[in-house]
Amino acid sequence: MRYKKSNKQPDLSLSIQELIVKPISAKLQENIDDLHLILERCSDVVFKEFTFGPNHENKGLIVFFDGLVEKTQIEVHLLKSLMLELNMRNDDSFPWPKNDVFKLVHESIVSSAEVKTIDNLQDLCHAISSGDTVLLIDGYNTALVAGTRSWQTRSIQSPENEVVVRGPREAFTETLRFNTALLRRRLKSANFKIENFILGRVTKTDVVLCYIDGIAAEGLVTEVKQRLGKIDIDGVLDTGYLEEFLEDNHRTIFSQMEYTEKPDRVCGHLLEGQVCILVDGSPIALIAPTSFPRFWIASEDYYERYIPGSLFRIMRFAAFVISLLLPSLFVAAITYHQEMIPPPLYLTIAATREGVPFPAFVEAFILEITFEMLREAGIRLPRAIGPAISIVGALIIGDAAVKAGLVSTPMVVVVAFTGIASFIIPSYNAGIVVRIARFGFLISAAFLGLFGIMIALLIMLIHMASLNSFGLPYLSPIAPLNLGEMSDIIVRRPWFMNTMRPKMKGMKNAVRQAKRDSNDK
Amino acid sequence: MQLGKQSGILMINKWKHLCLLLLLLFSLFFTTGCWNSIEVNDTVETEGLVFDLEGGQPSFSVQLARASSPDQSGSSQGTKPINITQTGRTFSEAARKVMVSLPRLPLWAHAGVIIIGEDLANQDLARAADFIGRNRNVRKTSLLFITKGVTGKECLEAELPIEAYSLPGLRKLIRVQESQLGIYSPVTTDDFLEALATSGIQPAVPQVTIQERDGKQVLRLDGTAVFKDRKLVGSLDEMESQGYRFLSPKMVTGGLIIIPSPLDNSPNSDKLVSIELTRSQAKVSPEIEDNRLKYIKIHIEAEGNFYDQTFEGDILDRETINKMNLLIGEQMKQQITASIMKAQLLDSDIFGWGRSIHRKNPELWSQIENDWSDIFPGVKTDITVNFDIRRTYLLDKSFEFKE
Repeated sequence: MRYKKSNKQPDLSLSIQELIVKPISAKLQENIDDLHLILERCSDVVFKEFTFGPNHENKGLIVFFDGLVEKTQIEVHLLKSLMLELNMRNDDSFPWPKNDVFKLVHESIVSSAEVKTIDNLQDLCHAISSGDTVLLIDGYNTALVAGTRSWQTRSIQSPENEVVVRGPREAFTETLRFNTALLRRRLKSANFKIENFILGRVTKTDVVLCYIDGIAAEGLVTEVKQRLGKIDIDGVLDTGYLEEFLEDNHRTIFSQMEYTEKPDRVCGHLLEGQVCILVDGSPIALIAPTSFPRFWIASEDYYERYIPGSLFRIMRFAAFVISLLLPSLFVAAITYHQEMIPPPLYLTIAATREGVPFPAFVEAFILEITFEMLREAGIRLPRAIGPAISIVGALIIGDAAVKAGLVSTPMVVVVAFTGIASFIIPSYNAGIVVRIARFGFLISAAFLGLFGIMIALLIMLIHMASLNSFGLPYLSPIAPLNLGEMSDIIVRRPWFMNTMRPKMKGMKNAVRQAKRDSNDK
Repeated sequence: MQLGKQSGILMINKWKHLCLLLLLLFSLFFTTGCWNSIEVNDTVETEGLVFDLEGGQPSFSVQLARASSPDQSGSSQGTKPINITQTGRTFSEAARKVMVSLPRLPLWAHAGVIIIGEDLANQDLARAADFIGRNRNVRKTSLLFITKGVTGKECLEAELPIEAYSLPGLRKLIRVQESQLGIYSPVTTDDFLEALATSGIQPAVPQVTIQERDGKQVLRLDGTAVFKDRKLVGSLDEMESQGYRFLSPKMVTGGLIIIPSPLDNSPNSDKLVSIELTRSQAKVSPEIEDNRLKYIKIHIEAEGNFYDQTFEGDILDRETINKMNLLIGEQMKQQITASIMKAQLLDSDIFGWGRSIHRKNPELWSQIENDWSDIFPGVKTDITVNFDIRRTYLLDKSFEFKE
């Protein structure tokens, strides 16, 4: 049964829509009435009417949202200046211009560091909801905005998801200005650009696009700007909202942008010609473009010496293959290709599977699902119950299920090993891909054995080769092959040999460091 | 408006087609039916295969490993092999007939050892060779043995010390024996089939027999079976087997050589020196002159370590070591000659000299191929051995006794 779409009824909001685009009136009372109408039922708004000037003949109004401002700043820079200090200046050198009080207030009385003027109610509402304080003076159709933003924030802490042993330990917070400051502190260059956008009809969220002028390709920057400009949504609460608008291919499990909470990692990417997008209220930075092989690079590789860094990277690649293929290879081997397993191992597997009532595929599937559930439960659970889950997981699922003969020990070992290997992948979004694809491989292994795994692998590779991220082929530098860059993907190239930036379309400045003189050593 | 509606229909069709396509792809999984998938619980591991003749009929036996769950692995029945024998008109029939008394699929691919009974070997290998070569479940890397004086089935029932299953134990046995003692080389099914199928070479396969020890029937290696034209014609003893091994075209590693003392080489003396062979490489090349085979030139480069001496007196000086090198060469030459003489006596070219001639001079080979069994017993050889003692282990001089 379908419901007919009800006709839109004219409601109050429409009149507010009309009101809000009104310019500020010269009459203060009119403005006060409008504002009361616009901001009705907003219990946190504060209106403060006052008089100032000689004989208290000028009327003023201060509007702000409680909790977003630092009240002492309003008191010191606005109220005290206007109401108290002004009256104390009684000398002749300070004439009171009756005709242009606003100019005087703007230029020589309000002592805030950040002052600007606005002339319509929409800007006024945006200013006060951003934490600024608006000063309206009777007789003038412009308003002063004093920067008084200050609210309770989380301080800069060490990253929670990208833990490092060696390297910077600062992470982004929810406040955009802190985050841009963290970047600016690392890139002390006028070429480091932070371009501002406001997205979200309701949320009016500040979104910034960071890049280094002269390194990032111009085409890339304009493309990102263009895609950002096309977004028309009611709210942007996290960078994740933007990722789906910005990515090139939507029908894929592969994410085509990287994200991080570490400013040092962002700077590393900016220096390689990528761009970064930050959203106010989100501690996560989006980085574009990227390709799949970059997902198993951890920022720590570059801080550690290059030999261990390279070995870690190779190990990570192996872990990626294991976590993707091990359960399916195991199932394929024991249901189709028994001759592949060495006889003593087969005997052990056969002995432990004796009495297990499920086929190997079902057993693997159940265990994998259980593992994913445990993992998901572990993330969402309140901290206090967390350990309980691991006890339930380890004891009941692991031990009791084996003892009860529901699953076999080798399968538990395989699934556990796969789980551990999947935790080695440094980026969470690449890990998700592996977790999803693993089930596809498991199913194809169960139906077609190794042949099925090969088919699934081919399908996955063909699909990956068809993707691109802002023009960067998703498998580069493996396909299209670029041997020079491969040396910084499979292994970690030593810094003294790292003379060129990764190749990207339209990049102007590919040289990273001057060729070292051979006498330097 | 019209256009919008049309494109809407197109959109719906597109999705419909996509869904149908996915459905078709999904149903493919079920049509393939995973026909050859088999659960571990429905299989049983095979440790070895035995081909025998029983009253002139092919008789096929398998040794199966009992998969026991870890809880009951301590019990004795958990590790005893299960042997099943069936006869049939062909080996395939006999092998399939095993299933009349076995509820699970035996995985022949795991059988690391194949034993061919002497009776079958004496009669005609053609009865089993095609089955072994063609069947994809018979692994071509499994090691082959011929029984000596017993049937294959009896070998199945015999034991090997320590090993729970005798046949895979045999696999370990011959490997360890080769590196430590160096008499018999393992022969894989592949090598054997290749020798059977190639002109100018005959297969030679190590033999197993049963020995009574402490009231138990125990397997042991005993001799090398020599074939000619698909039939077992004789056997090399230990000395000849070692000589045969020295002639292998592959690098030979491991083994022990005993020579008389270089100071006193009177025959039957108990003053002996043991030399450990570390490697030996034979180069066999037929010398052809005027389109006629003159002789077979055999040159062996070998080296080894001084292992021990059973008498008193310092022999580890440069001069005596050279003398020992020559003595070892003599000893090896003697064993090689013995094996060649035996092979020529049995008229079986187990060394593959015919193949060497074929490779060197195909024209000559095509002329003499048919008469090769007449020519082979009379082929002359020229053997040179170059042995080099390298190391002397912990003592660099001979042991000095206090007077």
